[in-house]
Amino acid sequence: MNNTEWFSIRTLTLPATAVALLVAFFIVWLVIRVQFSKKWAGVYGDAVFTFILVWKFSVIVTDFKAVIAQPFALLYFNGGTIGVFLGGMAASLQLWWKRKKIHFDETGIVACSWAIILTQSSYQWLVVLLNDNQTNSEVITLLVLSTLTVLILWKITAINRALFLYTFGLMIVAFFQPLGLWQPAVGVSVILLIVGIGIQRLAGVTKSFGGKE
Amino acid sequence: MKKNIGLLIVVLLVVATIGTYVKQQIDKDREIETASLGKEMEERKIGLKNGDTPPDFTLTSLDGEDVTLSELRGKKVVLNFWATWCPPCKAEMPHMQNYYEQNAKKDNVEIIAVNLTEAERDVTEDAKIDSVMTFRESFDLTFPILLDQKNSAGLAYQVITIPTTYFIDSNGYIQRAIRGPMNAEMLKSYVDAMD
Repeated sequence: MNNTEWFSIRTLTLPATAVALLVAFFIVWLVIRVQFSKKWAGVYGDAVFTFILVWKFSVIVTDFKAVIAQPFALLYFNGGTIGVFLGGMAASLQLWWKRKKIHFDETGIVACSWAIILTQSSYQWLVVLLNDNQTNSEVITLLVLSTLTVLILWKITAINRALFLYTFGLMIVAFFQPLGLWQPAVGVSVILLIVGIGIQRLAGVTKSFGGKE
Repeated sequence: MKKNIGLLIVVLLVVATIGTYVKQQIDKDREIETASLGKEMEERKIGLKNGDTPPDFTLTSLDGEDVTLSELRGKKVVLNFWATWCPPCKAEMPHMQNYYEQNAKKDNVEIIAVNLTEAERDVTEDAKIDSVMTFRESFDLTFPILLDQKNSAGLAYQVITIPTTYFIDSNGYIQRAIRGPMNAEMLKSYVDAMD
């Protein structure tokens, strides 16, 4: 989706896509908190926090010269699209490093798939609501992702199947969006798919280890 | 039982989203209908809000040329207000220059950077202009820099925070005002979003 709106709080101007992402984070945190336990909402919150920090400060990497010349740039700008990928990867790595401490059990895996799917869906829904794009791409985004999300969360229990199906669905939706298949949302979706499957594998391993002991 | 609460919230979210979307579409249709009723007779409204025609001005550039805003109609105009002592202005200048070099011609854009010369922190007029000159050289800026020596444009545009940037479309209507610094990516997306 093209960003067509911006929100200003005094001198801070955020594109509608960033606002959509922040609101989506909050909604999903709330759903996880209600559906699962405080622990999983906390894990989600940590990942989100890492994502936001890395996205914001990755301007050091994406525009090193400007930050050295004008350290203020760090305050005003963020890492843009590259920053989104760096943030996503940092959050994934953090989950990997902390895998022992977090200890993903069966609830954890389900919470993880809910988080992955819902964050993307809520973000897409909000982007549609906050911006003004072609009606057909907006309608396709809303309908396909709504059906897919409810269906998956309701009926499908195998996380890898759920995530594959979701990312595939998102790609179809992206194909009809103005930015097409090659947009950051699709790339991030693939990263999240890998994370989700990794976590499931991980839990499978700890489980069988537990069985042997 | 607990399993259903989360799912219920998700379903409610979906319903709320689709409901809001449908309402937005209906409102938009209505807006178009009412707009098409009385638009033709309407004259240009001078103001600072989105859709208004911005107050016109003629200022002298650092190179001694007179630039009149209304004469730039036909091009998209990025009208930036700044001063040399302002940190966020310094942060955004290299980005504006980058954008100007790479995209301005292609996107049919003119960047007009109005220096609030009266607010510069030097004592004499000449010293103020010298500061602006030094600033331009240090950032290698090539877009026109206008000197607002009597703060006339600054007042007309009610510039309180700097940088403030107005995006004016090729028909001469304000599309958006941004307070705070922009990077090249933001600048490009603002320009792309207007006619």
